[in-house]
Amino acid sequence: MSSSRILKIIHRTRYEYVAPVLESQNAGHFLPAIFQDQVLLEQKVSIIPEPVEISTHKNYFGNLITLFRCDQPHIIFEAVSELKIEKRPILEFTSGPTVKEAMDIFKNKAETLPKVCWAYLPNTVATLHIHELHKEFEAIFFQHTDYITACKALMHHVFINFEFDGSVSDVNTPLQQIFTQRKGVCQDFSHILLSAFRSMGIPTQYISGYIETLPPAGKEKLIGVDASHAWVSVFVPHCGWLDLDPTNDIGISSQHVSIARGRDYHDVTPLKGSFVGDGQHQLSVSVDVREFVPAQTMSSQAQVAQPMMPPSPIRPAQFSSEQ
Amino acid sequence: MTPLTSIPSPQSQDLWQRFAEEADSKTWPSLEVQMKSALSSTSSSRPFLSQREKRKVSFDTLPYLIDTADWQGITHGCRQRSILLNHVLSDLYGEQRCLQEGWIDLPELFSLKNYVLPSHGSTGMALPKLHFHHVQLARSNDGFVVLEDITSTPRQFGHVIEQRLIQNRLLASTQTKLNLQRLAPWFSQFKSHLYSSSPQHENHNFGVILSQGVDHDGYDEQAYLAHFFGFPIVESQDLVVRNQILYLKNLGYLQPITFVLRRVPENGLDPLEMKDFSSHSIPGLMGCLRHQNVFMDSIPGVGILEKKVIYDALPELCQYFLDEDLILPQVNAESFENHDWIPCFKDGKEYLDIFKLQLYISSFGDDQQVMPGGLALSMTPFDQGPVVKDLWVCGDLDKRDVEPTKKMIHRNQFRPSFNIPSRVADATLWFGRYIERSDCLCRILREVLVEPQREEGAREHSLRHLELIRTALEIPCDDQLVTWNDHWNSLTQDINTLGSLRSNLSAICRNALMLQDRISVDMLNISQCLTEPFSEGFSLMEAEAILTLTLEKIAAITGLSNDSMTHCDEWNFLIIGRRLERACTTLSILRNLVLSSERIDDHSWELLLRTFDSIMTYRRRYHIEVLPGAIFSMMTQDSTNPRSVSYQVNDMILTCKEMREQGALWAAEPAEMLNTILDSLSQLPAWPTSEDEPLEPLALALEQIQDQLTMFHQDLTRTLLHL
Repeated sequence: MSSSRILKIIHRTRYEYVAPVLESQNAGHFLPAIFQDQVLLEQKVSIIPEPVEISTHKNYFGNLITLFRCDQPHIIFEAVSELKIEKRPILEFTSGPTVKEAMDIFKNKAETLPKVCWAYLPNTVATLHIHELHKEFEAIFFQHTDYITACKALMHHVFINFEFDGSVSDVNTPLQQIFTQRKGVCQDFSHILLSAFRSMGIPTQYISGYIETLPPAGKEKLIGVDASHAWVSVFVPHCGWLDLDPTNDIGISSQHVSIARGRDYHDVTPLKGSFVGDGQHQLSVSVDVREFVPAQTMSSQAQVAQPMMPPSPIRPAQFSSEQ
Repeated sequence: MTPLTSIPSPQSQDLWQRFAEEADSKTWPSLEVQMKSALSSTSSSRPFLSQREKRKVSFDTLPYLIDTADWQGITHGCRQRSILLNHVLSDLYGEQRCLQEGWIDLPELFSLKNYVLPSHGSTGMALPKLHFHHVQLARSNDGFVVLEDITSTPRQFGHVIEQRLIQNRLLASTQTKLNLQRLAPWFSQFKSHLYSSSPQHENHNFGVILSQGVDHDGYDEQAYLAHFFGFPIVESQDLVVRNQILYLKNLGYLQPITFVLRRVPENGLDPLEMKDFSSHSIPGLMGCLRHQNVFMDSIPGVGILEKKVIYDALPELCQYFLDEDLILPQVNAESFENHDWIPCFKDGKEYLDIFKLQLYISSFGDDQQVMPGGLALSMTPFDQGPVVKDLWVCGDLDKRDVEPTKKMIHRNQFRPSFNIPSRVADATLWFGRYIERSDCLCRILREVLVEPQREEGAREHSLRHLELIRTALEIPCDDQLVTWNDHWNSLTQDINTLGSLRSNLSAICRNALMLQDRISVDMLNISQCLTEPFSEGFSLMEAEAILTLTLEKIAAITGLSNDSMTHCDEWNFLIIGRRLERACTTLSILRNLVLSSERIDDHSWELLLRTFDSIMTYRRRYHIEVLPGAIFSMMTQDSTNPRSVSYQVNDMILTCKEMREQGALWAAEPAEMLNTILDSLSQLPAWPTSEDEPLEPLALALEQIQDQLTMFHQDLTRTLLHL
């Protein structure tokens, strides 16, 4: 078990528009929701142009939504979120239910589950029930007696059978296509795993956050090379939530920083909104996650996580009434 | 005639006998004629709607009669149902106890988009209430049963009022004899409840009906409802949120809204907080609701109550929440066999049909009140939509309520008119522009058409004129257009060519529909007929007559706009739109003529004069001699010529000044801009006296004025739409 460490995250999202945007209304998941293994130490959100209105509230999933409105005409929009988070040691479950016990609860006594599980029971459009997918994962799952082992086996199955390829999908690629091509990025793998778990009736969350990457040996880490990341969190009866990162075939580590939870990507979009203006724009996103090292302390990370493609925020255009 | 004794319910039989005695069946044919006539005079029954088969209901001449004994049972059951639905709603969006008890299938519930999680109490939202809903009932052998609850966007509410007002007029004495219960007290309470439930902004209470727009089936009855209550009917794009307050984008200012009758789907209503994005979305709306800055009769998320997952659980939930059985049993609507045969009278014939009842229930505070009336809907599939009857609850009339419906209408009271929403102003301006654009294009095409007949071998010359029109009016050109006929067809009849005559006429139709509550019925009807000859296609032989007819229709619309539109903001924007378009088109045609590679011959100048209908004006002054300088000056700077650019600009200045004088502060800036344009016009270079002098400086000056006018429109749009 590793000790506590402090991570500093800088997430920069920048839009450059071809024609000025006259006004925009936005919602962002900048601030982390409450997660057991992390404590928010510092936070700062800077937005250009400066919003005329800004407010934050908690939504049904416990996420903090920042709503803001900019009314100055602009061709550059930039949101920078700076967080300092203490990552605490993750308590691993020493024992869990059997597959039979867990499935009995999910199938017959779902109402006895904690309320927070309920929203994560059904499949969604992004985590659609696909018959072949369900059969494939169900067969693996029921090979095991121990529930946690069975869950990890499904994560491993995604890791082994799906290839990481940032060029084949975007946030709107249908799950069936991901399942058929067996390629995608972290959010696609998470959606596959969510579909598998939920098709069996197991409540599972989509988690969005960040992952710290380490430079190749002997090289200095570049700024902004980290990425937004996504993984899943499956419910273990009588224990709690078990995080599984199918992209890296690991549980949550001290390199993972959780921001928001939801039913799928579309519940936790980093930034979305509507604006008045021409829709053409260029988007650039950079994420920097690095350990905040107080004086006389050195980082001791060994594992190198796979870098991810950042999920693209969606900003649906709203045009003026010109005919 | 079908004997009335064939009606199964003895109580109904008795009522029907009484009805037949009072309203003699011999009078029913004339009653039907009168009813049709009355319907055609109401806003929700415009002739073009039936032509386009938009009207999805047809009203029956005879009402559906129900006596007080039946009615009391129904009312009792409906009130219990409404109380129960309110309990379920508060629980679903609050403690979720009924979910913990296992009454409702959790995965199914959470998979439904109508379970709107941003409306849950954990997000800071106040517990939602079911303020208004309706329920569909049918008569079974054992009494009335529930078929369906409709909670999200109430339907046909306006039809109830429309139907009842007509029947009040036609069957007043029958109603009195049958002791018909009046609707007015209920509507009065409904309106008072809206006001008392709404927050107030600066002691001001202002409500709107939020509609999906004229293209939606329900618009017809919603517009009627809006007229009845005196609330403006708006669309999502008319609304905007600032600091958690909902505003109507009005001309010149933002009007705070305190209550909304929602008639748009709940999904995606606020894309900032909801997963979906809809064309009816209002970003930030959930924030307004969370801060209780606006009251909505139907909070996003109430639609969950009409879903099967809830409906099926209601018998158990009634026990759980109220500790009693449902008074009105519920059945599966699809498998239910209705045998409630009711007399109908349509197209001069009497027949029997089966009906279900649609009843409306509102929560006035904690008191659930069923409207003592409603609609009866035919359950027999009918290709023109269901037959709808007015529901009469007969007996035990409270004499104090005699004819209160008339009181509600405030026929003799002055009602202040609302300032027009920005979108309407924008649409009116474009309506004017499209009218003028079509007029101009129609004239040029007609002149070009008759050209070859005047002069031998002029076809090629005429083709150049068609190309000039295309360039001047910025109508895109396809490489495949080679011959005269190709160009002609593309400019006249091709709906896909942006800027073609047909596409411009369609735009007039579209904008007229959007403005149907602002323009006269005749204007609307003529607008809808504009494209008729074009949809069927026409030959070159027919073209001249059709173009002339189209011009006459356009002239009729503009004439009617002067004579039948109220001369206030809508009319002013129509004028600005027309003037702006005429100025821009004239400048563009002149500029392109000047820039054309060939020398402008007398024929082209005459074509120009005929196009702008100025040939007689010109000849009166200059006789038949073609003087380019005189024509140019007459078309640009002559402020007495109603076709000149300066006349258009002057008229726009006057219109803006008039609006400014009437209190529109925003109108000062556009007036300033127009004065600058007028200055530019006065400094326009004169037409060269010799053929050696270059025309480019003139073309450049014309282009600059055209750019100024474009900028004027852009700035005006931004001001209007609060951008």
